[in-house]
Amino acid sequence: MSRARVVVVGAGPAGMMAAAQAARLGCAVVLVDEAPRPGGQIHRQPPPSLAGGAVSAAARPEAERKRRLFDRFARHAGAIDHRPGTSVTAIYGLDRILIADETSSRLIRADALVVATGLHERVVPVPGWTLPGVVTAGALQALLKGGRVRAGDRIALAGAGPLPLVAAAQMVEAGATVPVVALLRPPWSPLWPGLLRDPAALWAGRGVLSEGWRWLSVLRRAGVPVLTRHVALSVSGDGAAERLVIARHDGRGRPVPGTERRFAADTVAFNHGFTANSELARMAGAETRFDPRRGGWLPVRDGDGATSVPGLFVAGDAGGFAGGLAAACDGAVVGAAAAGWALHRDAGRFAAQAAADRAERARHWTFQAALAASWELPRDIHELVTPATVVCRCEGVTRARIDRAVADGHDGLNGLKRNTRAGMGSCGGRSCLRTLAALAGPRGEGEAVNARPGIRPVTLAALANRVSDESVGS
Amino acid sequence: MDRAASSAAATPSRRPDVREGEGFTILFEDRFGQRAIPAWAGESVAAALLAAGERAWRTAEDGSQRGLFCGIGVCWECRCIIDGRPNSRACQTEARPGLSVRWQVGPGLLPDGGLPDGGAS
Repeated sequence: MSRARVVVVGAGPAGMMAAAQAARLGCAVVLVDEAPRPGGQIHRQPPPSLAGGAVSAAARPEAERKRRLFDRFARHAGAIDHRPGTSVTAIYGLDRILIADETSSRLIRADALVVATGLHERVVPVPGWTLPGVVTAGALQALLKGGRVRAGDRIALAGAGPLPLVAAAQMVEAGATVPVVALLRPPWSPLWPGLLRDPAALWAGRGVLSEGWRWLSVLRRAGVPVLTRHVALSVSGDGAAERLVIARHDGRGRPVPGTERRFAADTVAFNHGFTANSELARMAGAETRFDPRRGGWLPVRDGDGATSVPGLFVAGDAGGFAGGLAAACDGAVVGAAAAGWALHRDAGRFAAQAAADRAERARHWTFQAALAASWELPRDIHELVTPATVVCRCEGVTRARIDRAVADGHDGLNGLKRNTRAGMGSCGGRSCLRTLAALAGPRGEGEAVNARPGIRPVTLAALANRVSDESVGS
Repeated sequence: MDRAASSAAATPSRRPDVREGEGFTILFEDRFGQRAIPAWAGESVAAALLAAGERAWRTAEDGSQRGLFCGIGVCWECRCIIDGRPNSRACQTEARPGLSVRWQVGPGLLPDGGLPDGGAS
């Protein structure tokens, strides 16, 4: 009989640590990842030819976190069957996981499966958000981290939480002009009540807070206006983004008449929080709950990452936003649990091996629980989505079409999807489902859409070229 | 957006760091013709296009132009025809010397309505 095998999906901080931990504890580990190099989105690595370059004072803490993560991973990397450029296309059960790369596909089995797929950005649509030149704040970072390229010369940012501020400061350091950062509310203001109630959380988050302060200082020195309590109204331009229009809002997200301001920009970046990539866990049958602050439909999991499906674990932000530091600790904890399950059908067997990571994770979780409030969007924010605004970018479905379907009684998410085709395009609904849920009426957020095989588009050629599993993880 | 205006923004300054590694060119063909775009080993097609001042490389089914949106392979907005393969994500495809990047219309057609040479894949 072959060795007990742990399959980890996603090579961000959580997946890297889960894979390293399971390998350390004696499992055969397969690490499946879409990217060519490990690191995930947060520690996206440039190709070797572009590595190096100066690290600014503000960027140093992140560089240091990244170095520690990669050092820990490197110690066990030799025992990990890392499969870059590969995605999980379907899960029919832990014994039948379909993975595919560009040219081939194979069914693999796992004794324990760790879903560490992270999250993606949420954007609330405004008129003009499909124009070329409108991107997510994370896209600005991905281009900079992965290719040392800044997306534009004059970059305006808008949204919620701390990410637009950090991305703006990074763009300033990369030489861009940032005419404005418009935030729905000060990202630091929701922090204080939580932190004052729980001083330990303030202490736990001191590193993140000081890092945030450094980025704010970059913006201040560059004279970038940071306007809080402002909402984006539209992006306009002749065939591509040329300006962002914002206004003060009344606290509920409704613009205050007469406060509109226009900012010229060749690039406009949005972020309104995150959506957890929970579809693989859902396809495997995990129970979910809805949490608007931490990423939408989240798999229900315990402290070991165990879900309602025996042998299926979730690690890191795929289980709800808590940031890269918490994700790395969580990965080490969940990796130990998955190894215990794979080897002994006992997730608690190696708990002592991950005690330090568990304690550090608790500190990060406490701080992040306070921070999570900064992503709570004003109640009426979706009132700004005009009838003609495209909600589903893939299928070109407008707000008016969604409203008509809701009026006709299609008020659940799956019903809306079937009736309008919204959420059925190439992205699998990742760009629009949160908006649809908000527009869908009372049942919208309660019901996750069905996760079906073909979770990532895959070519017929790759599906037809099914190779055997023998070479994997042995 | 006219082509001259879109190209005017192309400056080396969009690459803020001193760069090591070998530079080369990829070929970008839109509705107005073909031009060589500077690229570096390992960077994505999207990074090379944006550094050169290109912002759009697809016409959606509704007639609107699209370019990069999420930058991490999630949204599929940046799909275009790369080496004859329609619906290739510019943000997930590494640039290689001589790579052909062509404007995509609708489900995978060329601007003139023809099918790309690489066939449907």
